[in-house]
Amino acid sequence: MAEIFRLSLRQILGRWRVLVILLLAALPSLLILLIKLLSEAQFTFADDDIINPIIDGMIVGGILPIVTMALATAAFGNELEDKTLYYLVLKPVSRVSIVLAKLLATLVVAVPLVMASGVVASALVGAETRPLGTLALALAAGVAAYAAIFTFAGLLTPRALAYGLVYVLVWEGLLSTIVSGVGYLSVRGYTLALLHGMDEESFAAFTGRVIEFPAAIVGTGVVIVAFFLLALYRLRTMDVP
Amino acid sequence: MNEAAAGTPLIESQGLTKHYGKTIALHDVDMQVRDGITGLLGPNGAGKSTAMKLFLGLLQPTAGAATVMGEKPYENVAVRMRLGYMPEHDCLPDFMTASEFLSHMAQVSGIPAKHARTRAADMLRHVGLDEERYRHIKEYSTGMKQRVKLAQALVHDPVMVLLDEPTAGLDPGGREEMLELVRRTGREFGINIMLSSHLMGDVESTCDRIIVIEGGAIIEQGDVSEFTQETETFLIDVDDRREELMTALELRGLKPKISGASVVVLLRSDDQLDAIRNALVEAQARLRRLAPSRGELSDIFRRSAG
Amino acid sequence: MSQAQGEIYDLGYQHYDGPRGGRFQAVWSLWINGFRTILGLGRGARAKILPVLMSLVVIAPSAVFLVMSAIVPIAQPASHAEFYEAISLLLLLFSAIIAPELLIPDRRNGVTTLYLVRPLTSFDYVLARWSAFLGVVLVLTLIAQVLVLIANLLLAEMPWDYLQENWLDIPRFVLAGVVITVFVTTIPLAVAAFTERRAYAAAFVIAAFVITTPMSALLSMEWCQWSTTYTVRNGEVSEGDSVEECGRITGDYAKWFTLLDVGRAPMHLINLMFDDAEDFDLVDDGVDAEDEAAALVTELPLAVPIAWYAFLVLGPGCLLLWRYRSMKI
Repeated sequence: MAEIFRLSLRQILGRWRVLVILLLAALPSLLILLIKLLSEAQFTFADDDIINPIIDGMIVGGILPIVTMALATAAFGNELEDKTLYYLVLKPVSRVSIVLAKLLATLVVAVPLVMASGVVASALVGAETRPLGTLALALAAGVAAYAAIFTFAGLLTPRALAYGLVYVLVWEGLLSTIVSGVGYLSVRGYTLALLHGMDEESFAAFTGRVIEFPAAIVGTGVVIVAFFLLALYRLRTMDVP
Repeated sequence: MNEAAAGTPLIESQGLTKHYGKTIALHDVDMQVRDGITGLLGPNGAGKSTAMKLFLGLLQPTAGAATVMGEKPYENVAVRMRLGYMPEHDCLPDFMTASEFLSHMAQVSGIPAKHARTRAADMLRHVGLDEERYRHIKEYSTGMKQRVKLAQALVHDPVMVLLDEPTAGLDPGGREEMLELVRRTGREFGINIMLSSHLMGDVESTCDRIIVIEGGAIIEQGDVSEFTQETETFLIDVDDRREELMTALELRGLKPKISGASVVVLLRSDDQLDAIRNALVEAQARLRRLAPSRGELSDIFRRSAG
Repeated sequence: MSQAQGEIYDLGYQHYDGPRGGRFQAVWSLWINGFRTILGLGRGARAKILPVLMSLVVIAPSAVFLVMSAIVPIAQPASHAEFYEAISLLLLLFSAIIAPELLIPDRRNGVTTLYLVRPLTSFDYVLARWSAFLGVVLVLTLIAQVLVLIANLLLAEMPWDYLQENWLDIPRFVLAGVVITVFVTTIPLAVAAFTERRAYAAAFVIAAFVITTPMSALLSMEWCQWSTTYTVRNGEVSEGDSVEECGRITGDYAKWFTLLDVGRAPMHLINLMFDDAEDFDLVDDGVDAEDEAAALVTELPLAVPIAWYAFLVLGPGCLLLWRYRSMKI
C-alpha cells in the first residue's frame, strides 16, 4: 500500500499542475496584501468584512473544491486514461488499500495546501482575533468530503472533473443561493455550517445561510464514508480496461 | 503516373538539409524518385521520417529544396491532394467507425461527400476490413488499425503514397500481410510508393529500388535486383585448414572475413562461386557447409562503412 | 479475414477521376467533423449529456420568460442584455468543458498529423475547429435571444409599434451574441492547445474565471462609514455633524480592478451596446454585485473595456495559432 501511495503522489505532483495549484492557494493572501497596500487610510477595517467573503467566496466556494477535485479525479482518472489501472489491480493488494492509498495521496497534498491558504490569509487580516484552528479543521473536513466524492467520480467517468465543476458552480454556487434546502446536500454548505457551528461569533456573517451544526457533522461524515464505500464497490465490480 | 511519363521525377530533392537545433537530421541529400515502389532503408534515427515529412511539407527545409510532382509542398499545400501518408505512430481516433473516418479523410483531401463514402467502403474492402467497418476503431486489433492507417493514406486515390515503417509493431504474419498489401497497392492499384523500413527483408520483398540512408545522408542507392545480388554473402564452414582457405580465397580476389566459426565471402557475381570451389580444392579443406546468407541490412552498413 | 481477401481480387481497384475540391472542401469537412464532435453525434448517449445540458441551460432562462409572458401578461418587457447576463457564466462553464474535446483527442491520438499532411494548413485546421465551436454556441445564444424578442412582442400592447421603436435591439443582440461567443470559445480553445489532459484544460479555465470574480468584487468593494468631527473650543469638546463618508476599498484603483473579473469582459461590452450601464444608480443599496461592477466600469474611459476584451480574445487567439504553427509532429 505504501508503494501505491508513493506512486499516486508522484502522479498527482506534475510540475505544471503543482505550480498552478500553489498559485491558486496563494491567491487569498496575495489579495489581502494588495488590499492592505492600496486601501485608503480613512477607512477602518472590520476584519470580518474582508475575511468572510474571502473564506466563503474564494476558499470554500472556489479553491477548496477546485484543488481537491483536480487531484481526486486524477487519482483514478489518469490511470484510466493511460490504461494503467489494469496493472494496479493485478497486484496482490486488496482493493481497500488501493482506494485508501489514492484517497490519502489526495488528502496529503490538498489538506495542508487548502489549510495554509485559509489560515495564512486569515492571519494576515488580523492574527490575534482569528479562530485559526477552527478554520483549519473545517477546511480539512471539506477537503476530505470532496476527496471522497471525486475519487469515486474519477472511477465512474473520464469527465468527472467537468461534472464536478458543474456541480460546484451550478448546484453549490447558483442553486444554493436560491433554494435553501440545497445546503443540506452541499459540501460547501457543510463546510460553512461547521465553521459557523464551531465559532458562531467569528462567523456570524454566515448566520441564516447555514444548516444546523449537527446536521453538518453528520452530513460530512456520511459523505466521506458513503463515497469511500462506493469507490470500493465500483473498483471491485468494474470491468477494468 | 503521367507526371513520371513526362520525365519529371515524382519526388526530387536538391541539397536537402534539415537541422533540429544543433542536431543534423538530414544533410545535403540529393534524390530522385520515379514511379514504382521505392524503399528508404536505414536504421532508426537515420533521417527517414524527416525526409518523408519534408516531402510532405510538414517541415520546412533548413536548406535545399524538396519537390513533389514539381511543387514544393511546404509552400503549396494543394499538391498534397495527390499525396498519401501513413505515419509510423498511432494516428487514429477512438470514437469513429472506420468507414466514417475514411470518408471524412477523403473529404479533407478534397473528394466530395458522396464519392468519399463509396471510396471509403471500397478502400476498406481492399485492405480486408469489410466486415468490421461499422465498429469503433478503438475496438480494433493492432493489425486492423495498421490496415486502416494504410487505407486512409490511399482513400483519396493519391499519385504517390509515403509509408513510414508500415510493418512496425506487427507480428510475422501481420507483417507479411501488410507487405502483400503494399505490393498490391504498387502493382495492382498503380499507386507509386515510398516506403521506409529498417528491415532489409521488408524492402527487398516489396521494392523496385532502394535508397539506403544513414546518419542523415544517402550512402547507397540502386535497383533492388542489383542490391540483393551485391549483398549476397556466402558462409563457408570448414572442419580444418581454415587459414589456407583464407589465403586461397584472397588469392582469387575474394576478400574473405571471419565471422564466428564461419568464413564469410561477399559475392559480386556468380562466377565467383567457381573461385570458391577452386579455393576449397586448393586449400584441401574439409567442407562442412557452403550456404548463401541472404543480405541483411547490417551487411550493407558494414560494407559501406568499411 | 482470408475470406475477405478472396473477394478483393475480383473487384479490382478503381481510380478516382471525379471532381476534387480544394482547401475549402477540406475546411468544410473538418467543420462538419467538429460540429459532430461538439454535439457528440455518432457517439454513445453519454457523449450527448454535456451538449444537451448546455443547450438547456442557455435557452432555459429565455424559454421560462417566454412562457411566463404568455401566461402572466402583467410582466414587463425585458432587456436583452439581462439574458446575456444570466447565461454568461454557464456558457463559459460549458465551453470550457467542451473545447478540449475539439483539440486534445486529435493530438493524443495523432490524428492532427493526418490532417496536417492533407491539403490544408495549420491555420485552416484551427479555423475550422474554432468556427464549428463558435457556430454552435452562437446559434444557441441567438435562439435564446429570439425567444426574448418574441416574449417582448407578446407583452407589448402594440407589437408592431414595439418593433418599430426597438428594432435596433435585433442587430444589437446579434452583435452581442458574437461578442460573447467569440470570447467563450477562443480562450478555452487556446488553453486546450497547451494542455495534454482534457480535464485539466477545463479546470484551468473555470478556475481562472471562478476565482477572479470574488477577487475583483473584494478589490472594488464599497465602504461607507459615519465619521464625526470634533471641535475643541475653550477646553470643551463639541461634537460636530456626523458625515457619511463613502469610497471604495482601493480608492481610485477600484474601477480598474473590475477588469480583473475576466469572465465579465464581454458583458461590459454588451452593456455598452445596450446603453444599460447608464441606468445603474451608484448609491442605490439595492443593486447587486453585477450591476455595481457594470456601473463602475463606466468610470473608465470607453476604450479601456473594449481594449481589454480585444486583448483577452486576440492574445489567446494568437497563442492558439502560434502553437499549431510551430507544433512538432
